[in-house]
Amino acid sequence: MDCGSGESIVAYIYDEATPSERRNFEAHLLECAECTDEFAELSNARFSVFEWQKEAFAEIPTPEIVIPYEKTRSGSESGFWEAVKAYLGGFAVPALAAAILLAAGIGFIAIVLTRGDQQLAANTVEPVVNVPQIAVQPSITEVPQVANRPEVASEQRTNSVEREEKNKEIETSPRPSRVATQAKAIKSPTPKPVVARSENRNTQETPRKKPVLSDFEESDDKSLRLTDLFDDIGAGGR
Amino acid sequence: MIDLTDEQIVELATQDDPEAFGEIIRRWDRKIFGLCFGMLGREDDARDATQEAFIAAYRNLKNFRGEAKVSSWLHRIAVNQCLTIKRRQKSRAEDFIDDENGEEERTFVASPLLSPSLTTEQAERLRLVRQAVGALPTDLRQVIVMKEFEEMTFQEISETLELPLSTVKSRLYTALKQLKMRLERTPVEVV
Repeated sequence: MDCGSGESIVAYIYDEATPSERRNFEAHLLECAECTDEFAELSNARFSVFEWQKEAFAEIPTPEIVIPYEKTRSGSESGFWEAVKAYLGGFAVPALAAAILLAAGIGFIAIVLTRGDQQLAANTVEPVVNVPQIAVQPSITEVPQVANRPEVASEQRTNSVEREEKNKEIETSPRPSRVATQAKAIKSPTPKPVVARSENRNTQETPRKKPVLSDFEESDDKSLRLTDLFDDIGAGGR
Repeated sequence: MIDLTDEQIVELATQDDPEAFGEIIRRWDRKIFGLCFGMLGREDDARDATQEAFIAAYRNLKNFRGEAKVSSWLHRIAVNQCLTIKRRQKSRAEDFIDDENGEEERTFVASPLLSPSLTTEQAERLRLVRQAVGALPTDLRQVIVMKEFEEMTFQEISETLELPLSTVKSRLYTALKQLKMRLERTPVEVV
């Protein structure tokens, strides 16, 4: 065994040498006084520490360790939240509450603005002018008959005069404005309650006859006409 | 929980039951306290260091890597806490004495809990030993305290300090030689 091997002395002093190492060391001590002296000095130093530990420390009670689990639980949380909480300090909860309120406020304002835009778009249509419902077609009830009888001719003559008067009224009456027409179209998308000709003829309630020019033949017209008067004048002047 | 290993308890404390860490405290509080006492030499400082070490360990549970032993991890944390306290005390400019080599030493206050049956001579010797240990460099003091106060094996010290086994033995040998020199230099004076 090499005399300069301090590791062997230490291993022997602390009883961590293997059995073979222990036998070799003990054999060397018997042969080497220098190593024996060194071994004795180091053993005394070690014993002093051992004694100090035994006398000064062994009787001291173990302190009670208190872990504030609630406060230090953040150590087990994700690093991110821990860093956030460490950054915010004691203001973590108020800051979070403020952030939530701010987000809710922004969302509320966005909803209000969105609805306001929708209502504004709905209200862009101009107010409907209270235009009376005027039928475009003249409300002549009777349809001129085609019958060739004198009493019918006089009756037809009266009807033609009335028809002309009605036409004048229609022309002079205020025309419905385009906006109002559009408003009416928007307001009442349903078709106007104009009674069809076929329906009108067949109804028993109000036999309103309207003149239909397409069904009126000139040859069947027995009423007095201005051209007839000019013809008569021309014939009589000769 | 008694049948669980230290590593299993740490994993349990990390995931499901943080208060399982209490079992780690129960298993290692005495040894960590002894380590801190040997490093600091004062009971009250050792208590503070032990408390801070376990709190720091609990806060850093998620950082515990499974490749190291829990004991090694705790020892490393405790040593760091002790060194922090020593630096804090040194910055407060507490009592220092200069030895013959010009090095500053801390005076170790005698523990008030020394057995009353001790003679004055014995008490004085213990004071000198405490002072001599306190005067050792940190790297040597660590291995002495771990061996004497925590009764750790060379292998355990090697794993804790992440040093080769031969380095641990070499440091112990050097530490004992320096202790011998200091104790021989300061004879016990009995008044």
